[in-house]
Amino acid sequence: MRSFGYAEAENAQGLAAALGKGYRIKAGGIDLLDMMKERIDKSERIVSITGMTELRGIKERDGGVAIGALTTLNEIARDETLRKAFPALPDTVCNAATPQVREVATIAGNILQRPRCWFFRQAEYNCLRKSGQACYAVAGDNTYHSIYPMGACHITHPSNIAPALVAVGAQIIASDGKNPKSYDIRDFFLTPEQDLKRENKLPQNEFITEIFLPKMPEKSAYVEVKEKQSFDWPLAACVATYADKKWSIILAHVAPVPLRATLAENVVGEKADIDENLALQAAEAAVKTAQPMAYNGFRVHLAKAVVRRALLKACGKDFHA
Amino acid sequence: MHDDEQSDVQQAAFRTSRRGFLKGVGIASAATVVLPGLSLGQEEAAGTPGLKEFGSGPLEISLKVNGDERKLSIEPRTTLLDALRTKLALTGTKEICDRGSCGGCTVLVDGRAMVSCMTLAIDMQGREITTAEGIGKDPGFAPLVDSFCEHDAAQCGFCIPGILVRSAALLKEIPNPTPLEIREGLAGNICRCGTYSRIFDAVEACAKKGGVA
Amino acid sequence: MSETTAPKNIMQPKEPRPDVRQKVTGTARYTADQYPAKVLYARSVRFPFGKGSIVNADVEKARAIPGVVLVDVKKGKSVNYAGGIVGRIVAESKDALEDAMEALNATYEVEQSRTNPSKLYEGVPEADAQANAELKGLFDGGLKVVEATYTTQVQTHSCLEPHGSVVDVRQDGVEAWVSTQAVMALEDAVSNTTDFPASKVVVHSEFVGGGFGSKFSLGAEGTMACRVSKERARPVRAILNRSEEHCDGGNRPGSIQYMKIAVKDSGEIAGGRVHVVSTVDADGGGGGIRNPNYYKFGNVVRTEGDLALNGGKPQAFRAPGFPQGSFALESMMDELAAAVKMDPVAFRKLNETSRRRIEQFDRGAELIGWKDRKADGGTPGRIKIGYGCAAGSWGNGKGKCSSDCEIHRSGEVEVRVGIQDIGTGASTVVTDTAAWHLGLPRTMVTGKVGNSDYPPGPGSGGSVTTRMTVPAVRDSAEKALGELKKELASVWKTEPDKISYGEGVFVNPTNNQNVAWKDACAMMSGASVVGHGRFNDEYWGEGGSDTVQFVKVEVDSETGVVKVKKVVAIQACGQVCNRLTAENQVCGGIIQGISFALFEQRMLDPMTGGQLNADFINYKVAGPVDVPEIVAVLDVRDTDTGARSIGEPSTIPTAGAIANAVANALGVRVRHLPITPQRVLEAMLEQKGAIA
Repeated sequence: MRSFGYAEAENAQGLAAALGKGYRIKAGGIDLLDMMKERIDKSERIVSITGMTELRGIKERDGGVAIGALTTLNEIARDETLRKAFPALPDTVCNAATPQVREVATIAGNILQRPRCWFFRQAEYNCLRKSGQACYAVAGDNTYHSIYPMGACHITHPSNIAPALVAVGAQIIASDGKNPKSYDIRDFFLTPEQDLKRENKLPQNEFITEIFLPKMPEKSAYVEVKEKQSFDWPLAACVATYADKKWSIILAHVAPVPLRATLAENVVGEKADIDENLALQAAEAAVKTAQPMAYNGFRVHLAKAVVRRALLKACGKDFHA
Repeated sequence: MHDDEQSDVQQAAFRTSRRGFLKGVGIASAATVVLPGLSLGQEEAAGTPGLKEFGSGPLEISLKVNGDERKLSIEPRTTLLDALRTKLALTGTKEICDRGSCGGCTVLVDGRAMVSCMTLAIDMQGREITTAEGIGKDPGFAPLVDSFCEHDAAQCGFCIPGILVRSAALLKEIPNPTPLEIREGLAGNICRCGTYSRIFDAVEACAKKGGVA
Repeated sequence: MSETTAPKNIMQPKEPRPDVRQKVTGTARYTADQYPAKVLYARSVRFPFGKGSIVNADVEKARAIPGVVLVDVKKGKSVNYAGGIVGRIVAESKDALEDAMEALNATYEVEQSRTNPSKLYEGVPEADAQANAELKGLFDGGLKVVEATYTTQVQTHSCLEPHGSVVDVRQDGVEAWVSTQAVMALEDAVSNTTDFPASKVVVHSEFVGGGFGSKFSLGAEGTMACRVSKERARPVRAILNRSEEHCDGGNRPGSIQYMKIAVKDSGEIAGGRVHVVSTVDADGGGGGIRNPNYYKFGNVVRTEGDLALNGGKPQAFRAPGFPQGSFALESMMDELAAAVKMDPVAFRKLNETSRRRIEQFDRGAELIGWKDRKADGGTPGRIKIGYGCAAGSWGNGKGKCSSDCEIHRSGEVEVRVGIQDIGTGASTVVTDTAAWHLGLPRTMVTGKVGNSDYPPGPGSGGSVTTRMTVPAVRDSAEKALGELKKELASVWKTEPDKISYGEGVFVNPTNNQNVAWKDACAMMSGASVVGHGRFNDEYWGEGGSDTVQFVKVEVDSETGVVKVKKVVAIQACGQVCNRLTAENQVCGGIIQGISFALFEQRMLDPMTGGQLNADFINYKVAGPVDVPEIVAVLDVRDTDTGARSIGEPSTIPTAGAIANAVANALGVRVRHLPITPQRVLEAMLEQKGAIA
């Protein structure tokens, strides 16, 4: 790893000051250190915030649930409140990455992690997202790239947990050290069309303090498909939630952002109980706008499969039948 | 802080067209991004409330490893893995993938299993670190170590210290794991020789005999 | 989870390997764990793409970094695979080395690479006129004919301890630690590279973190370590990182295998045409695919070819060429069985060449529950269950090995053999063989391997180590015992051959008194006696390495995800030198076979030729959740008196058996490895027109 200046923030004021000096935040550090080891992230100053314990923990508040930014994936996976009220949320992370990584990786870090694109992750490929001239996925091996075109770069969004948060319309609470800021997670993420270099709207001088889920869904389910069952990123995943007579159907790992399948949501409408046939129709609708690349056409079929399965699972039905 | 010019942005780009790609495309870099106000140093440490700055140079720190306070000189960039192996001669913690994806460098930090390759040593001050060597000497974990040995849970053995450490944490978290819980609990560890069956048996047998303390 | 069938009179200790505690608790020191005082760190500068050269690199800037000792970069040198070496960096620390690597800020000229075997494949060549005429007769003779093309991917060895050397060239000689599976050959290599006679060179490989066929030579990194150490008079550490290990640490070549086979209605295979192409590196190096000859295949016209890719050079990989060749052959066996409407087990038994395997098929079928196997695609619902089987074996030739057995005055025994233990349990075999033949408890015996100063033994290739070592160790033990008897005879004033010995007790023929081992040893005139043993034909015995494997899989027909639920292996290996290590190796062979069948593949970018998955994130190795229930049965009979091979045969049949089980589950055959969701879905679309 290249050399960097190191600091520890003890509170929001100190952290804001660090950001003002150009420090980059390290929480669990898994993604940041990976990027630095690959010499892609060239931050010269790193500020550790693991000492800010007030940013850690899961609390019920105002009829919803507040998850501190530094809450680890394992804490979320094991949380009894979430397990009962919103099982899809812990399900998204209980097999994410590895047990050792989940021990330190935080919810904010998971949301903010950089894309897993294998061209982006190698310094030798000076791709669009790294100020280069080309997206190598266009003519290269794009097996794991986006199947929904959203601009010149073809990453998929790597977060497992973000789709569940998008499904329930979570708020991202951030701070610049003085004032709290709130972002609706449904328009927090940026497509490559909106911005080629950034995956979200969080400005450099702000940090996430909390994720607030205003309301728990009545039904929820998470389904993923992986090539390998031990430590793998999904080829496609889906979160389906039902609340206030509305379904949210969010696809993950298939597009540059957690993708709201509005066409599928329209198909299921207000129906609380979904049968096989309707689930299948919704699944078809979800992939209507998919446009796979040369190597990843099979994942359109998988996107369809996870939508069908998530809807049936949310309704307590056996999707294997 | 060393050489400021290291902030050069690498511009080794290929041209966008496929034809352009084929021949004579290596493009030298040019653009240098100069970041403002970078003169990090110890002298800057004072001043900002709520922020402790350490600079980038060598530092003396103390780590509590396997019950002993150990003093060592590191840089902020030194990973816990490198500190253990090269400063403290604890080479049971293996470097295999160096990206947190194989579990070979797993250690316990305050009883929790973490990958030391993705952990900064400087962050570990004041924490209790236990390596495979430490597990090997801890009477509380002796039943687990013995169970690994009795089951011959090693072939080349390179992955095994990391798997032992992760198993120790697993049995603390779940004293009587199901076969699936054992597999999922070890899902962050790779064994290339394929000793997994023995490892599962060792963990299960240890749990059935009363587990770890 | 395993069982053994064995007669009692055959050696089969079942104590864990003596060094297991060192391995488990991390006190075993591998090459990668050697950090001698004042060590320098060395690493090659590598070209990251398939073909081209480095145009520019800021060597001066790299040299200027504090702690950097040496930077060489060969600008303009053309390279033809990702990972090809274009320079070297030596530094006082890993950090300085990596800073220098970044400071090079290299720019590259990149040419089009050859990466995709299927696109480069030129089809099946014409056979000669006579063969053509015979084949025409065969294919037009009213027999059932099955024609299919199978492909396999490139698999990297992915040893967890990377290739590497730590070399200390001193004025009086060389001490080197090398992660190798051929410690004796490495002594010669280090001797040649450093210009010291072999007598002044010692190579250590006491612990080796896996080899699987890829660690026979000193390699570029070892050569670099030798040279820099000699130049700088400092120890040098050159250990590959994970990316280098994938790109340049060896691989199992990929293949395209065409088969057109005719079968009689009786089930007898009549023969046909086979053309097999292996991937090789851009210079034509490596490669080779073996279709095993377990079954009677009649008159087969077989041709071979190579396909050069811009990829790292293939190396021998656990049963080189066989898992690929077996996958195609066993797939074809099931396709032929289907063509004549026969059960795959019955069809195999009909065409088998080995009586042992015919019996093994019956035993395996019983243990997997073959009777529950449904017609292809016959499971209702989306989750399909399938069963498959395949066979394996291994050649078992004789060879050279030597061994020293030293009995100390204390009664302790040390046996030294110049072999290495890459995880197989070689040191356990040495220990247990000596203990068995000396009639001593294992605690009295220490088997030592992994040092080039020991009596020469073979490299760990071709599964020879155990079968060469056992007769040599036994010979050295018998000779050492003879030396001890000579000592006793001179004390007791008798002839050595009048002294009887068994189970730790000597009988003094002059007074018929029993003398315990330790008391007897204490009588020796010097500190120890040594028996110098060699491979001894007298101790060769009987045995073979036949095996069959049965597999049960579960396939999700909507997503194409395959899960292996159970594997049964019936494995012969002659006498069992140690049950635990033997079973461990069989399980390991199976798990590597699962990983090969379902997950692993080197992915070279078609555009740049760079390896896109030179890591353990996108290069997918079977992990704990992917491991099924495994029943490993060591098939040992009264006649199995000699030690035979086990490491390689145990990994040959797995992929073929899995492919057959998947075909049985789905009613659709996936003819391309690895059997990923993508491949399963594509096969369903192609063969059924729709996904279930």
